Amino acid sequence: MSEAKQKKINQKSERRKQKVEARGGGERPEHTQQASQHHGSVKSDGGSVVNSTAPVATTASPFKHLHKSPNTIVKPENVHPQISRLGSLLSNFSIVGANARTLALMSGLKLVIGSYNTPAGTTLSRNLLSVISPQISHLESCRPKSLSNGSAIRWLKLQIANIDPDMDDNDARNHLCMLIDCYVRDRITLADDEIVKNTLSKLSSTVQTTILVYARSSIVEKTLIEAKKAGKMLSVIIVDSKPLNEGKNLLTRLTDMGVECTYAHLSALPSLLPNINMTLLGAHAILANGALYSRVGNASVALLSKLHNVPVYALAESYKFVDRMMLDSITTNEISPPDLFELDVNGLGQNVRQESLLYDVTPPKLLEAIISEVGIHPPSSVSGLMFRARA
Amino acid sequence: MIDLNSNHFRGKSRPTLHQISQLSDKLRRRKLVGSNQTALETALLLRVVVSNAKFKSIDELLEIVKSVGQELTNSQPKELAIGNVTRRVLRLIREEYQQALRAANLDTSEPALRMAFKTPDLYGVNSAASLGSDNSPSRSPSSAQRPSHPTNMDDFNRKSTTVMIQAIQEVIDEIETVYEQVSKNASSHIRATDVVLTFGKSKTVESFIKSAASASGGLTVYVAETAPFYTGREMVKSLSEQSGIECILIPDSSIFAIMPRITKVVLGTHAVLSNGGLISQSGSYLACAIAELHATPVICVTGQFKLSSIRDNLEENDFSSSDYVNSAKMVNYDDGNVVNNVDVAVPYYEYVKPEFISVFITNDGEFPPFTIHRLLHEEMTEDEEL
Repeated sequence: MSEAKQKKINQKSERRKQKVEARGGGERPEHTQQASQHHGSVKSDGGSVVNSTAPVATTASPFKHLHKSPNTIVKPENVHPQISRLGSLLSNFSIVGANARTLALMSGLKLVIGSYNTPAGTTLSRNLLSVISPQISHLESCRPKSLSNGSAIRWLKLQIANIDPDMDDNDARNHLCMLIDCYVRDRITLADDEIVKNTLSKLSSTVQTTILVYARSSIVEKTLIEAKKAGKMLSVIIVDSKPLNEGKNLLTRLTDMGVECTYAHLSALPSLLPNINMTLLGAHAILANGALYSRVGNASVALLSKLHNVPVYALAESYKFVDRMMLDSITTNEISPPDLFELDVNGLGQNVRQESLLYDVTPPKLLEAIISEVGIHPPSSVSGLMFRARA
Repeated sequence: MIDLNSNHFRGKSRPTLHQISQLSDKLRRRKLVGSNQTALETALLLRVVVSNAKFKSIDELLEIVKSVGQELTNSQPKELAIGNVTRRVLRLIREEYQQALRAANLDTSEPALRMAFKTPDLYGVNSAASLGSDNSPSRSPSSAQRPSHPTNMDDFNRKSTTVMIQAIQEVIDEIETVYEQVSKNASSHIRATDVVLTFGKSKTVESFIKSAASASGGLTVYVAETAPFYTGREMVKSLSEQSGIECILIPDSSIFAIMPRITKVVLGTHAVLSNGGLISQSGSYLACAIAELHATPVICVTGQFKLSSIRDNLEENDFSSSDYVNSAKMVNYDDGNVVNNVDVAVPYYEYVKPEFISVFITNDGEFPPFTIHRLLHEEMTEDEEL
């Protein structure tokens, strides 16, 4: 970005700040700054400043650490155009869901690798990493990367480091792209087929099964559609909630496929539970202790199901198993951007804030089993599976 | 059950009949919602009924009051407060009657009252004890068995209704002051260091939290927005009017995530059943279940008129199933195909089991859930059929 342009932007945001102060919003300057910074990252040119009334955490808020601090935003430099486009799709939530984000990231990085040429005097295995890093940090500035993205990136970096320094540039590029394709095929596409197969083994073709699902997960959606195609007797109860209301999309999709659906809000769930036979949840990640880290609300659904003795199955590809532990849902989480998913700030008083998280942690004791491409395992076996995969 | 007809409301009392049908219309059309308002309106109506009704005996008065209660309950079976207030009033009428009877026995200066009260086979009343007991056969009256004593009845009406109206007025006062009474001890439960979660919109909860906040000098309150009705937003608006309360509005799905930071959950309710369970706005079960998982105490604040007797418990399990409301907030015609093919479940109330509640704070003190049926026994004739 040229210096003149940057100066112009600075002036613009300065003017805006003054305007806000004149309106009597002067006591919350960091709020405006944050809002403008956030939007700066949405548009990769950093130019447009959208008027926003985003609430900001005060000192007492337990979510303070989750709000983006203004200086973590990296100015896009040396960013591949495709990555910059991907960044804006991520930040406005056009691409959501762990699988979709991993697929998008991998295809983006394939393009980066495809257009890479090793400069003279270095080797690909060392230099390519320094090209990949700014891409990743740009994406990170658009939206914090998902845990599964993290493991995919770690894997890719390992593959790059393992490239023979004597290998021809062209061969190395093709080799890496091939590896990426294999990763996507083995860890996501084929894994999903296997998960569908494993889950269908739990469904009957003769007795009606009522399945509870929450929000929208690509693998749960696929499983339900395949179950319908396989002639399983099922009816689906879709439970939905703010902030994203993703269940609505699943509802449309399943209704189009002819699946019998009931749609309800999370708070209506206790009244519906007596009729439910099993609960299927999607995963953002499975933690080392078998806990499920997923869209906010999943923990509530799992808890209510457990209280009514409804078995809860989490569907997750094994690449989502991460070597981490989370003790609560607050320390690690993501705030849903208030300018995209505002609850209703208008008409609320001065000392009112809104907070909305994107994920929560379902304790392993609420889960009956985790269904992955490796099989159906209790949550306690997750760490064992991870050790086996490492060996 | 007797028919409410012009016989009981002759002449100048005729407008009372109109008032009864007006209130029952309001209830039927859901113009009047919420247990507090319903209880108040019921008590006010019963006061009018008692003061205007023409009756020949105490049993007839009880039957009239009962019929009015029945009429209102039929108009809106979900408002359990109607039955509660009616039963309470019936109980008070009986008590006043007993007292008058005892006084009449001692005091011979009131021959008319004594005459009216002391005719045993007229009213099936032999002693104060049999009057108090609800299962006494005297409560299956048939007017044919009763010879009339026209000379004494006018006097009986005039004297007895005055004390009964006073008793009903006490019920009305109790309902009107319920907020202050419930919140007066708020500061003994909620301190400035507490972080409170509440759910939905309840005036009782609102005054309880406000009272706690003004006593402690500041309070952090998380309010779940209670979709799809979004009553939590109204709650936030009214709570934030008072300075010192820091309000944070969260979506219902975030309750689980925030619960480790919450020290007390404060809930309002629609009705309290005799086992200590709640009929409460849907979503309460969720909040309570999460609180239980995290061992967070759940405080239920309620007026005593919300305590409902055993008879209403019969349908506790499918209570919500008969009160599904408009689904327009969940799905609308823009969703195309979906509208024709999907069931949308929007229950307004749900049952919350007593194990989830730590304490009930009422206008009459604090009680654990398992003492509610004792309270009911004290307060009203609990198996009164309505």
